[in-house]
Amino acid sequence: MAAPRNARRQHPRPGRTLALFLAFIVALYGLLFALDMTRDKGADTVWKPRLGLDLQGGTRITLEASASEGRVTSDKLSQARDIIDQRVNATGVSEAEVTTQGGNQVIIEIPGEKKGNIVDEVGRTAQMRFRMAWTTDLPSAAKVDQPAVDAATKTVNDLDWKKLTLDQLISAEVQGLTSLPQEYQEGAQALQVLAANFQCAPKSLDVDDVSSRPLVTCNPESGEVMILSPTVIEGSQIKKATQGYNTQQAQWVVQIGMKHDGAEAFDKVTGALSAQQLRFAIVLDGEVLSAPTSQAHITNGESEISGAFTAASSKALANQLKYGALPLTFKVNGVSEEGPTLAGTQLNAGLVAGLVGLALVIVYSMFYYRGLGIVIVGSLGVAATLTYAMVLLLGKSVGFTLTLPGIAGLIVAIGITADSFIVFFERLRDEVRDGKSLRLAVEAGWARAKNTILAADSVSFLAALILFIFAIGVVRGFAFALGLTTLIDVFVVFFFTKPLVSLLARTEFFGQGHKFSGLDPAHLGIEGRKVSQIGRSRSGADGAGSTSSSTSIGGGEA
Amino acid sequence: MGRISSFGQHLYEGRISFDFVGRRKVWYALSAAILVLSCIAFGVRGFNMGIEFKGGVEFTAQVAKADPGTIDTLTEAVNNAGVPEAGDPIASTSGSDAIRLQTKPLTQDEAETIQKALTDAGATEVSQNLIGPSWGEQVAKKALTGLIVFVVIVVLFIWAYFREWRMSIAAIVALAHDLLITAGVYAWSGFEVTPATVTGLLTILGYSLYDTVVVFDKVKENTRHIPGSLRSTYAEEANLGVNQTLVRSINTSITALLPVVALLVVGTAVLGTGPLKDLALALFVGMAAGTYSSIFIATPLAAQLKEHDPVIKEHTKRVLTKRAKTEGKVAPAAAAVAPASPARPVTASGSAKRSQPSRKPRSQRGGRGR
Repeated sequence: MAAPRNARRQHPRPGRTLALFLAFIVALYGLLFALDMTRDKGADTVWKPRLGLDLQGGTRITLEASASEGRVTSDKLSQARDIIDQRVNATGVSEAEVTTQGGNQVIIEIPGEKKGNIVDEVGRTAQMRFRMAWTTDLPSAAKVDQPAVDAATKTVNDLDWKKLTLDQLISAEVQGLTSLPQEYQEGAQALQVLAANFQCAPKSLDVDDVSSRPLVTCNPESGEVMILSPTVIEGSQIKKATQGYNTQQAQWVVQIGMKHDGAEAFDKVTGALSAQQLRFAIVLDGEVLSAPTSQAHITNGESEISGAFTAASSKALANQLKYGALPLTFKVNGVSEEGPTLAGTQLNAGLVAGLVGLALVIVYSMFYYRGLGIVIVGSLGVAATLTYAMVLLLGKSVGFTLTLPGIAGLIVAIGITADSFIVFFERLRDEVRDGKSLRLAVEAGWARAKNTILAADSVSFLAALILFIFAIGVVRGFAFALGLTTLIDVFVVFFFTKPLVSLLARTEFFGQGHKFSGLDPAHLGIEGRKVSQIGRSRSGADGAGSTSSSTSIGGGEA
Repeated sequence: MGRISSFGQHLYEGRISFDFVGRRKVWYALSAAILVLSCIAFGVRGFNMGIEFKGGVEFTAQVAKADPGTIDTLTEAVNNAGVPEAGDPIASTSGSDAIRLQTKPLTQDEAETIQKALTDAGATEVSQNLIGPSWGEQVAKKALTGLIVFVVIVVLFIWAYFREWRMSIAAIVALAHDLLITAGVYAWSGFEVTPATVTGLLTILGYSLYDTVVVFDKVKENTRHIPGSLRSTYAEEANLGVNQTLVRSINTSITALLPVVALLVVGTAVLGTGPLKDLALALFVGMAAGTYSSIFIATPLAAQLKEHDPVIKEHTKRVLTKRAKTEGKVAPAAAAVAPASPARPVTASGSAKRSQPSRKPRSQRGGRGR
């Protein structure tokens, strides 16, 4: 590597570019190493890419949303996502990921487990309801008398609770359950049996939340068990719910606004309850979200819930109130459960295909380009190294997971990456054929090749980008991999391949056109001169002492 | 090897020249015939849509050894599982130790009954893919939107890069050509169309244009002197460009197809029918068509469109007039240098030996124009 020294004045310092590039890769791996050292105990090692469900096994549920009124907006969808996320967690599944996709879908991914059976539970429409809190402050049961519960449940379910008026429901709280009409007394007792046998487990509450029936449930946070009336106000009556700060009481509150019907009912309810400071309950999916005490008679539907809120918890409750009764219904669009064996086979198939593909390309380029083939192999190696690092880093930072189509994308990209080198080498060889010495040919060939490479890669990247934006599901993994490798290709060819070729052109092996360099005169079809010379052989054939050639159309530019 | 390389050298200099542009009618006719066949296939045969477009459940059962006997056992297990909708599943082996069964749409509960039945019948692990009927439709709809957006953006991009709307048109025609041929192959062969196939088709978009851009770039470079020089016509320079990039086109196609072939072979051998195979197959057909169309369709079409440009029209006329004059004088010499010239309709030998010092001093200046 002594040669570069004197050439630096005329060329853009390939040695330095190369050194910087290699330093960059080392830094990248240093970063990964540092991440690996500082990871939490028990967390997965950084060196293993995040694998998609198809490569590690697991369950993937696709739910498609449709709006009962209005359109499916991204706002509504992301709120639905949050609610579904809570539900999935409530079923005791850990590490589930819930994401939105394609403007109207929610995807639930549960790695490692076959959990297709949670689909009914998590996919049902979110239901938010206001109920009277008939009986409160009951303890959670220590043990459950199942036969008694079954009998009581049947009793409650057999009664037609819809016949009760709002006034009757209110008086049942103000004056006690005994004030209910005679035919409901049996039901009231059954409710007490249910309450006595109700276990308030933080996860997976065993409740059947039907709007028209009373409900026995609890607030999972406080553990307080309650008997609640049939719904008095549906969640869809909530017009707005915002987080606020009450400066007089110096505390966070949640402000609620009701639509007309809701406000009317709320007027009655708070009018009756506030005198005795009684409570009502806001129930989301069968869980008591909040059971505030009615402190004032609210006539216009504008009320304020106060309590021991923090800024965050008041915001969370406001969001739940606002979107809890989301007018989105979900349809199951797909449930895929991949066992670990199948996933392992798919991973292996992907890796084997990749290695075979890479090997084939390497063999071909060594065969055709000989010595220059080493540059292709090196460049592909560097591209692979970079790709691996980026897959790891993107997995850490933006949660990129490697799926089977993603691996396919990487494999397909081998060809496109190799093509950039081919474009460059063919240009380089054209320049040598035109009569340039190799060292000049590298620069001249590059000047032309780089535009072609940039243009062609732009189209390729554009295709990947558009595929990524418009595709849904696993196709996006493919597009992402393709786009990523296209960028890496440009990066490698500019900062690795080109400087490397510049350096190699100064070595004797390549610069003098050694037989195995891929640049020997016989190989190029320019017998009779050395590639290190400015070509005189051609000028003889042309019949004029000129270095211009059949394609020296550059002259026309002037 | 040396022979291929000197072949490249000869192509580069124009000593060997395939007449891609001049014989365009032949290629057009050939492509038109293939396209008509494709269209007939769409009408007559239609597509073999995969389960993703119809809805249904696909089970993959891991077994000790996948053979016809095991298929029968598992099929029977499904038939006797007490789920009438799942009756008579389509079963096939998938690799050496897995069996794939496809049924009509089921609910999740029914699917679990089947899973249990398969496990009882000896499957060590059952994977399941329940697909709603609208899933594939959604994929296709999104793909169509993507296709339209892509075409619009690429027309603009190529137009901006080459400063030439005719090249945009030619590139898009070539693209449509590739997509139609690929679709035609699918219709004729009855290969299953799955979302992976659609992905493959969309990838072809990028690849087909990538290839076309590389060829066009060379054409653009070769025709930069037009209309300043009377050395050769636009069509001849375009043809030279295709010939000069021919070696690259061949190399590129080989390097691009090698990994795809690996994907196809390994995918089919290890996994049987599945997304890897579907994707690789679509890519394989599309890439082959893409290479063909860049050479035989896109460039001839671009040259043909360009010839309608008044400036180029005038230029071509002048070149031919001038050549008619000079050829009368130097004909014997030309015949001696390039005896094969009659075989080449586009007088490629003329363009090969373009740099006649006596003609255009300007064309010699600075050689490579950098």
